[in-house]
Amino acid sequence: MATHAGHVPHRSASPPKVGGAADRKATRTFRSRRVLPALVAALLLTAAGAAAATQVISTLIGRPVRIADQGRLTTWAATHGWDHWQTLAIAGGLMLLGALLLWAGLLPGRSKLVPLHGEDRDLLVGVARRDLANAAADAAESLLGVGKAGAHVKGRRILLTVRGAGGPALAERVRDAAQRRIDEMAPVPPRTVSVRVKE
Amino acid sequence: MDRRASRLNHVGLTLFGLALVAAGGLALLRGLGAWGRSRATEPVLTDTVRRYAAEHAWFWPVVAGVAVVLALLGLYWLLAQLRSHRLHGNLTMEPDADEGETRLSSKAVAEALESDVAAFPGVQGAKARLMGPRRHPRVQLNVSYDRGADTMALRDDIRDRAIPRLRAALGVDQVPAVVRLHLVRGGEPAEERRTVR
Repeated sequence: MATHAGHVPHRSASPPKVGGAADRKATRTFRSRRVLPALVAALLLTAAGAAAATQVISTLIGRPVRIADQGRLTTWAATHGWDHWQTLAIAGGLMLLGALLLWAGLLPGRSKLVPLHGEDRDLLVGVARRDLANAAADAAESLLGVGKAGAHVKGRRILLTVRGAGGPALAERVRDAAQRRIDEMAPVPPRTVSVRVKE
Repeated sequence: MDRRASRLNHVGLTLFGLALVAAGGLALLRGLGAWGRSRATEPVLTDTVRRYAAEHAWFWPVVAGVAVVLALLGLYWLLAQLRSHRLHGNLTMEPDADEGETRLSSKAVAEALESDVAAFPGVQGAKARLMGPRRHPRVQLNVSYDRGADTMALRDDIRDRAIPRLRAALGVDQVPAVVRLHLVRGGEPAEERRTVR
């Protein structure tokens, strides 16, 4: 079964048809929620708003709370120009922080879970990215002549490194076995296994 | 899991990021002389601004109001991260007739589902959580599953055996389920294969 026809990525006989409504829903469900950057931003907004409100309102009602030294702040702002390095540094810092938040908000974010193909919108199954790689490594290690195998998922590829003597023929066998296992699990989007053999 | 919080984070981060980039960028441009040398050397806080604030009674109250609104927005955003939609306590079933209602502990339902799923081949452990809203409950399942076992078979078992029983117990037509698989070592087949080598 294992032919040695060059390095064409192996595909099992009937690759699962992925990309239906259920798969799209699963992809959305398992996508990262950006909780960490959102927590940081929300904390910043709350803290800054609360500090400013407390300072201004307490001063307005004649009982100033000293969160920041208002006198020193005012003096600083009145004596430093827009072209002073401190002003420029603060402006640059704000812009950098904004760019980071914007980046976190716009990029889709990397999820730890990979959805598995299904037809039912009410039953979504996901597997940890790491476990998907381990499944490929396990399939490789189950073969005769293969020592230790390690794998990781990179984009739409699963990079598999195995120890064993056997050259291209072994690589082909390992790829067949690992790809068959991955196709059984049917990750969305489909992943292609690449194999590197270390003697 | 909760897509509403996810959308809120996307919009919130984008808007907050844009506001900071705009404020920092404009200040930077002004300092670097984009609007002329004299405007760049002007102090950040000019007498004109101070006089304006002093002459208009509404100025500081408006600043305070804006600060309060920002703080409340931040608080709402924070709470949205922490909110869980997990169902606790008893689920009140929709009464079929006028004679009373049935109550069901959500914990008991989750545990029944866990033992159903744990009995499927290859499953090493299962943890279930019922999520709201109460009238349209959802379920979140964490399953430890043999690395070598068939994930499609597990999906079929959950769909054809576990979910129908859950639906019957809850008395609803649909219970959307999200399953997180953790593939673990163990189980006979993997051991057998290893000894061949």
